[in-house]
Amino acid sequence: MSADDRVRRPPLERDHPIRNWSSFFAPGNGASPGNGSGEERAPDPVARAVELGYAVIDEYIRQGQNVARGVAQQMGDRGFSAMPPTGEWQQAMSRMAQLSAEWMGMWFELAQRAMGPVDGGAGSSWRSPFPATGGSPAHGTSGTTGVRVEHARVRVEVAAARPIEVSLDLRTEELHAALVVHSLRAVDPSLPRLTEVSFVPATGDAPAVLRVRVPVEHPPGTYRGVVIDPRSNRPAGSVAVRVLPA
Amino acid sequence: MRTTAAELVPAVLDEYGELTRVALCDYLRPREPRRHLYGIVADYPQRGGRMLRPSLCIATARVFGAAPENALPTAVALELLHNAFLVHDDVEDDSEERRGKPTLNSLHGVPVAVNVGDALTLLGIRALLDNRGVLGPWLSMRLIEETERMARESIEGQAIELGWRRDNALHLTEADYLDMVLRKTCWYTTIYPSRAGALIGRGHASGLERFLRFGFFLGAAFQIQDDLLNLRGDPARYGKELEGDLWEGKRTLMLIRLLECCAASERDRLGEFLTRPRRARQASDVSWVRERMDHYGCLDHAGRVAHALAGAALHEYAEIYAPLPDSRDKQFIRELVTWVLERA
Repeated sequence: MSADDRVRRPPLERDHPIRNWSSFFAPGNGASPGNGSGEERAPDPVARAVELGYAVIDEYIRQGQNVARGVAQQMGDRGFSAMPPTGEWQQAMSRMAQLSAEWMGMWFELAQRAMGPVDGGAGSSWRSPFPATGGSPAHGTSGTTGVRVEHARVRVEVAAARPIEVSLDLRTEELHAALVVHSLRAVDPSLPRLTEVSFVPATGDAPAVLRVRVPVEHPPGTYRGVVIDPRSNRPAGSVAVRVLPA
Repeated sequence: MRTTAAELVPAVLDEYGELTRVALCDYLRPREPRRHLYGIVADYPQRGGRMLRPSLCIATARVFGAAPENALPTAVALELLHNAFLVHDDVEDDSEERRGKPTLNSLHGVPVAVNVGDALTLLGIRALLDNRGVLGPWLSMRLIEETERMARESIEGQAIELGWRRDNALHLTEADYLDMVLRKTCWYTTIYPSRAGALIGRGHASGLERFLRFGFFLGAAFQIQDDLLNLRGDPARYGKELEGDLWEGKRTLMLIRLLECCAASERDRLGEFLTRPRRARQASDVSWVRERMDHYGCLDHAGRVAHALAGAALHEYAEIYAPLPDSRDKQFIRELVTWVLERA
């Protein structure tokens, strides 16, 4: 058989994938930009519009899910504080944490104002309780840690099977009062609250004590709550507990 | 007997719109400095408007069990933020007419208009903060987060569209258009009102992602119909500058379709027309673009796309609302899908 007798495939119409939206659902029929035909039409604009619409919104949702999955995975693998300083989602997480801290500070100020007139400098100089702007984190797995806070001496007692960080910011020097700590919650409402957080008033020379107990199975995350002075029913500060992966 | 969209939707819009307008007055009280700020801040909100967004928010909250007053601060915030967007939008587009009257930038100049837009934004935030007395701190905070996302999506969508005009983008696809509309229009017109309403009604944030699809399809159909009305609306009822989108070179679905379909020589002429600033465009050129759109059936095509997306919205509506008990508010949300296409 000579070379001229061999059966040959016809030349390919194209040798690369079509990568544009207008032809994605109806290859070859889309009116691609620049064809200059002046008269071409997609065969079924209704079906194509619906398919295109779903493609756009599903892609949008998928991108959001990917970001969320990356954040969750990274937090699970290494913990929030061990994240690398670069990367798109890392920046997003840092921004979220910063925003959260900023909002919390503003929130307390608003709450204070809503509950009554701001009395003097303490209320008007309210600062965010979280590490971005203030507070002294106490690291530990269990035992007792002394912490100097801005206005008064408070001892933090931690009982946890895993590393945690505790940030406490008090806006009162009345540590002989039986301050109430509301259960701490994460931004994600599906995470269980940290309920075993309590405040023991100072007595005599003994400092006030903040007791935090984190259950063994409690999921990693940052949990925040308000400290209330029950006599005035005003916010007296806040507590943040960051539970790190084991 | 089933109430039709033509009867039910205007009735509910009137009812919830009136509720919102009354509450809105608290935020728009005249005070000093009046001449260059607070006297003007109330201008756009007092010009009327359909009150679609606050009504959708209140109706959704009611479907999920909330009292209307629980959704009212959020509805007011939405209307204030909507008006803030409109003021800035008119400046960015150099528009001349809004709701049948000259735009704020035409009446008072760009600097004053921008400042008024900023003030409306802050008043919207104030209304959101007022939620805490009605809904408590957690839900109020969650609504603020939701609003921050809505505002961010909207300005990102606006940035995409402004970039198209600045760079004279000519090779856009319908997917590009839908992605822009998802961010610029759908989030604050339909997605956010639905999500905020559900959040208020249910008291928790789980399952809000279901409203993305419904809100997207409804909002996209709404925007395409809005753009069609700009070309063939009733001059007495439309309220904005007819064919203003052509004068502004706005990348509507019809224009994108024309750029796809037209001959190469026509595309060159169209590209040259779009390169010019608005004030350098001629009425004869605008008429030519409009005539070419008719020639290539661009308006009919966009109308079919809008109907198709509305059909998808109805499907997504059923996914969310079918298990819920029948109510006037539930029917209103369903009929809204038809109404966005029927409105003149």
